[in-house]
Amino acid sequence: MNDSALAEIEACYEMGWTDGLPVVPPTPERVEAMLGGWAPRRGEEVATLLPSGGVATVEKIAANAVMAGCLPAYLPVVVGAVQAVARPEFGLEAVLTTVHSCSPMLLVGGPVAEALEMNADTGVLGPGNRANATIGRALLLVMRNLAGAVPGGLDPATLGQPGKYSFCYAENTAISPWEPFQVEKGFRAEESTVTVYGADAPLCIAEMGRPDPESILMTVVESSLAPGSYNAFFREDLFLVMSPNHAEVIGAAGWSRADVQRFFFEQARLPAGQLRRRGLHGFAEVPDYARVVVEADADEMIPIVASPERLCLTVAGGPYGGYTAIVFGMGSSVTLPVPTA
Amino acid sequence: MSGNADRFVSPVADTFKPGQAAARPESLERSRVGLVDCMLNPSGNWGQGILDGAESALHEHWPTATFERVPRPQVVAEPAETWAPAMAKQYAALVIAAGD
Repeated sequence: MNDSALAEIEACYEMGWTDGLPVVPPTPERVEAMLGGWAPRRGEEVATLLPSGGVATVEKIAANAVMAGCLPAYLPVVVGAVQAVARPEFGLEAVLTTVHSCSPMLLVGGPVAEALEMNADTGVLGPGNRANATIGRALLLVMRNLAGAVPGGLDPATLGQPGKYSFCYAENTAISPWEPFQVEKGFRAEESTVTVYGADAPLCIAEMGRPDPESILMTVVESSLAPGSYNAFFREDLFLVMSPNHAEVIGAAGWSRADVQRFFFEQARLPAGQLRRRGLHGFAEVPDYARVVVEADADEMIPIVASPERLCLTVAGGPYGGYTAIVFGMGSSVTLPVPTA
Repeated sequence: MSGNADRFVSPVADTFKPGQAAARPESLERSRVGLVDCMLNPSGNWGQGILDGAESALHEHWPTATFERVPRPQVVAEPAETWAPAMAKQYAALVIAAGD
């Protein structure tokens, strides 16, 4: 790399545009190439992003996608993700301005994941795949540069987490015994979708000694009973990224996705008395959403998801090893179709 | 701005659409100002610290204004549609610390 190229990267640092890693400088030529067929819509407002109220145009999103290292083919997914986080039910302002460590996670579904050669297999939540890494990073650079989520500024997260650089994956639909996640959300398996979720860092759980559905799921259930998690307070969406090994065992025993959700809902519970002494509980006054915990008898078992559908079951990862990642978080996930230019 | 950065397409927003701000009184002289701690976790006292700062700054501009702490320790206890008009009858202005 010559001195000029390095100087351009340094200029991006000076402008405060980066996440701490070097970026591809968003020259007009690169942004134009990123826009491709979207060029006529460059000035179109995709969303207004809280907390800053910054207007995310197609061109601004493209500039961030360039910086993240995206290929032009990735742009529709990034645009779709921006549309999804801007939906009121996602609660973007809460996700970005909380002192908690959650951050927008992105699940890409349908044929676009394969078309972009996304990794849904070995190491799915880790590094190594350009689409996974840069699409997730582009969304989070948009959060920084357009929504104003700058650490220490409008992003006051006490600890933060590595997923604030990038957290994007695709489902391993070739192995999963169940229909893709987006079908649960009302889309067809043949539709390309984006799902966003205010996620904490994934917690990887092993269960390899007991290859039966109940044992696998009880290990996941008991590992999810963290009274200090936001889920234990808000009781909203909770994601599982289940390895093909676990999914195959459970699916082969005839369990449907709904069976897994119902089992989790019924088993993943903590005593109200314990919850009242832990985590976010203990306020002088209790918000409505936590009132069920306060009003219950001490030994009443409270589910950590408010309904079975709050368990968001996805299947991804390599063929070897029995693992499931629990992804705590806050709020509701949002699934939308990937837009076209 | 760096000379290099001038040649880039800025990735930051050119325009902003902040939420609609409440009407601001011209002056707070001899006014009652309510200070509300709406932090999700009031026991952390972060909201009180923010309100202390706001009170200090406002008092500097309008020494005759009076300040009162308004108890509202939860975010969703009462719909804003009923709470806000009730507050408007009592106070010329409200300063609300919100977040978690």
